[in-house]
Amino acid sequence: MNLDVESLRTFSDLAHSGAEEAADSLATLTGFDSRVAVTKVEMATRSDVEQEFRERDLVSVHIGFSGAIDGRTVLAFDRERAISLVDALVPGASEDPESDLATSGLKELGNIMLGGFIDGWADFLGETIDITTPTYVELDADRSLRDVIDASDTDGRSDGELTLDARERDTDHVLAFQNHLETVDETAGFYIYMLPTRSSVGTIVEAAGDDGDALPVETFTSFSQMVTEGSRQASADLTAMTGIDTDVDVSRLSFVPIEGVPMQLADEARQGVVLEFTGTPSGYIAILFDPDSAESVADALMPGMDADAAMRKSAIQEIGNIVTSGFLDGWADTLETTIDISPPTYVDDLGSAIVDPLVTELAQTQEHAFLIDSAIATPDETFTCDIYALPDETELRAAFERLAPEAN
Amino acid sequence: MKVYTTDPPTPDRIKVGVAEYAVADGEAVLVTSGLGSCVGIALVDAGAEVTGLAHAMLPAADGRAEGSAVHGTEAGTAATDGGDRRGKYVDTAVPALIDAMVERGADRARIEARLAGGSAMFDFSTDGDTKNI
Repeated sequence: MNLDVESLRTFSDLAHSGAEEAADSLATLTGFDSRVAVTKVEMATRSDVEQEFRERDLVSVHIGFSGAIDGRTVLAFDRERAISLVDALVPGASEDPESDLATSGLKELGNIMLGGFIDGWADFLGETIDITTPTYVELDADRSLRDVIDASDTDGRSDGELTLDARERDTDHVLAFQNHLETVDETAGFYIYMLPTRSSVGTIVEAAGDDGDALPVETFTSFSQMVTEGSRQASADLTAMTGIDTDVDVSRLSFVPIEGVPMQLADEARQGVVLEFTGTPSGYIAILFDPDSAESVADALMPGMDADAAMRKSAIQEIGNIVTSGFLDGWADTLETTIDISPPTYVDDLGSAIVDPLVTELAQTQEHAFLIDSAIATPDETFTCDIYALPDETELRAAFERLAPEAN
Repeated sequence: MKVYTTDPPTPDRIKVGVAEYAVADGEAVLVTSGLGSCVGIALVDAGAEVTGLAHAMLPAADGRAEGSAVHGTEAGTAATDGGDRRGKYVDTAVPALIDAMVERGADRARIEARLAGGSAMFDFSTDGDTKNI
């Protein structure tokens, strides 16, 4: 199966307009006025998606779809939001949030929002897509998203079409469409996920794609793996430098409208460094710490020292250098090229304001961006280090071509 | 176009995202955050109590901002429609914002402006900062 950047743009636009349809339905049904904050196409593994669910305390409504394309959509909201929605839909039902009345209200909401979301894809493909009845799912420690998907895929469906192939589970890469909706006056969120099966991704690529530009989907997954390797190296280097064990918590490659990138970062203070890298590909990288993490990591570098602000700043710069080298060296090796790194610029600002100039640079020539985001954390929560990399789209495509299994 | 079965709630605080603009009146407060090299353009007609806020990324649209003309004029709604990119560029955001404010009762002659952002934060090889101002 091949995938190309043009298809990703189409996917992103379809998902965005589908999410807007869903937001309109939400306003009509509940009076909650919401907006689509971010739409992103994640090149993720199934377990990555599951982890996202577990990181947040989410309740969700699942709907399967089949026909022109097959897969699953999920409407998820945090627990408090779910309760306020139930109240708007079925007044009084929230007194017993576990009751059938409460969950059936959410299921109906899911039915309408997700139905609207899927309609856009059916229109685009010019074929019908059927949806299954919604199921209400509460994820907890005993029940993973995979269990839920597996259970519902074998449950009450005779055609077996939606059953995921064993090799598509767990570690296999999937495209996941994640839409984050927020109400206009606050940030409490809703999430709409769409997880098409692998063959369905192929169907949409055939309809949307540009064959001349297409690369085997494995190219994207190889790149994603290369990013994960880079994160592991950066984590190892960080451990060597600080003497504190670290692990790669998150390593993601996603495709987002360029103005959506700053919204991926919290409006919270971050300290760290920004660097520019040049080669195939060129781009920008930000290594960021929350204030507590920055302090911990600087302390780890200068144990027992009464370091002043200037020393802390230079410690953070040094860490930024090391993490960036670890992160990018593997790319240069795999891509058989050299990638040069600029000196680090120290930053201390809101996370979104730090990446804003990086995004603005790229926005001059591209409408969407490949966003790489990784998090390296210590198991004891001493510190977390976030890495955001924004490669230039055209050059990244050149890099993808180097990775293509059958070189063009 | 949104269709409400009941009156939409009137938000007190309207968040304007990157590359968006919004208009509000009365007590509502327009908010944006994370301005680095982006520019925040805040317009106020104090007499009519109509306000507008844009968070623009780039100086000029050069024909890239085509979109529906009706969007962004809705009560307390940021223009997030994928087809309307006028909020992304300074030279399209300002006219769009003024038009939307006039539609809500503002008088062009009374509108005052405040700008924020447009910072040259980094010394990149391809320097695109500061062009927004």
